[in-house]
Amino acid sequence: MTEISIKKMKELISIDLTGKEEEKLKKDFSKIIEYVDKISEIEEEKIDYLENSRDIKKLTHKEEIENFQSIQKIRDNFPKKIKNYLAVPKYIGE
Amino acid sequence: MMKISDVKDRIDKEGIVPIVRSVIKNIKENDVYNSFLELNEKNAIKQAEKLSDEGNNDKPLYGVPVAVKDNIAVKNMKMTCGSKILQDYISPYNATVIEKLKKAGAIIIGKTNMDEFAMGTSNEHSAFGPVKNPLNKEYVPGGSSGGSAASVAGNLVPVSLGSDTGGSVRQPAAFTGTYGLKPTYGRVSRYGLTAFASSLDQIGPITNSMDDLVSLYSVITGKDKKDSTTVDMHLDDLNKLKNNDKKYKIGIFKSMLDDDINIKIKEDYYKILKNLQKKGHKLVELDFDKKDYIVPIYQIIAPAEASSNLARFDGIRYGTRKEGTRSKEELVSKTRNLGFGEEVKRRCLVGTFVLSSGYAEKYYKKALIARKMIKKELESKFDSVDIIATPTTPNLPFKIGEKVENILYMYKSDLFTIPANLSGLPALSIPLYKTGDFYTSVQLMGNSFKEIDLFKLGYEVEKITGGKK
Repeated sequence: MTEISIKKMKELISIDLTGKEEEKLKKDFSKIIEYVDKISEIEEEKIDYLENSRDIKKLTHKEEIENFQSIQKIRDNFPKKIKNYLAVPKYIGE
Repeated sequence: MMKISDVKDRIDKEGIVPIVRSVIKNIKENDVYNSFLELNEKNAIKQAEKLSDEGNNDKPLYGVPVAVKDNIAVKNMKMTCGSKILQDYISPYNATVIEKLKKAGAIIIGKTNMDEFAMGTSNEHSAFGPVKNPLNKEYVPGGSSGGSAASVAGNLVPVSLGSDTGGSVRQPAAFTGTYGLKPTYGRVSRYGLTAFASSLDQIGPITNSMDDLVSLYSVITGKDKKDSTTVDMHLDDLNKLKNNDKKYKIGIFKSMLDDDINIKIKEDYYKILKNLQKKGHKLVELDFDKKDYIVPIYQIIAPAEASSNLARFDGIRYGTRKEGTRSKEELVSKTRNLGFGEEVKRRCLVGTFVLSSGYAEKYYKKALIARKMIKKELESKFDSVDIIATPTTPNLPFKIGEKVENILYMYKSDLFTIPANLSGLPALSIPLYKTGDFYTSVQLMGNSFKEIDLFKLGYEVEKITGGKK
């Protein structure tokens, strides 16, 4: 893995690795990629790829309009509430 | 050895509430395996009292205590997924399997330890310490559902639920001498299961007997409108499984057994096949020319899906958060570094890489094509056989700490279990014979939605070996 691609990967995975972690993961990563490179030996047959184990084409359900029952249902999904407000962790913003 | 029938006998004599109290007390005093992360004491007793008042003991799992892997949502209980990033997260809802268990009268006793986000084969990658194998506490119980397997093998509960993405129910079942099932993909709802690799994950039971495995399976299966990958599939009549007259054609992949397999595992595998042959079943030798690609394909697809599924854990809306950061990017990246363990970071790195521009065609897309080839090849075998039998694992349990740095050893030990996940097929691990402290095991894999054949043959295997002692 080149230095440029490590930098790119770190940005993509959004994990702030320490120097020591980076060195270790680089070695592990190389071993794993060398191992999985084996699939390059497979000659591709003329078939579509398989995104899921049952070859399901449409996984969406029908959109059905339901009458909205209760705002309490939304509130119940949140662990912390202050009166009728949902309490969420403070987000810094830019 | 704790079974559902033992618990039900005790409930008949003593009532549900004393039994539930006694199970909880036993766990508190005797869970030296670190199998439980949290007990559901108050609610379990409350539920037991409610059931006792209702007096309706016709429910199939009336009063049966069940342990649940900590990546399955139980309302108002923590759901850590074995990770620091969710160490204080409390689930606001029940997974569908939990609703089904409760409707059947089961009591959710507690949440079990696991490899972080279900990534691991030894339960050494939990943020809350490794689980110890009840058969020998210096050894691993397998993973990632190690806590669930240990809770059953250690006779703390009669049954538990785990999740299986590449073998994480079957392999710990094999390592702990218990029974483990990965159902056909789509049999069991994944609503409320924290996704690792969504196209591979399935929830499955871990038990001490075939009877208990079938009981738990029959309760948790079924179409769920909250999980569009579930199927509306008729559940076979499970009442006539034990005295099976049907003679099966059992496929064996001899070439897979040339690899580095523990000699005792190989011996016992051939022994059980010979015994099944004596009972009238036919053995059919099969080729599987793509066996060397099974693990590489999985180690591309699973991390790729995981890297996407784990992107949600960023400290912004819920979970652990690194305080004192100066920007959104810093908050997210430092939180994820603080919250994720080494194995999770490794898989996110690999998964993101194989999906990234310039590499996705070479790795991810190629793996998806190869996956279809594997599935086609496996399914074609069922034109000539009913069931495919392999050992569940190539190796017996190893000591805690012995293999944790040997990544490829860990990955390759999923050789026999991965094909069922890649193809969505059902597979059942059954303990065979004792060897030292441990058991050897056999895995039976069936065609899609043919769990009934696995159960019928599974009962025969149990009868031949005498079952778990």
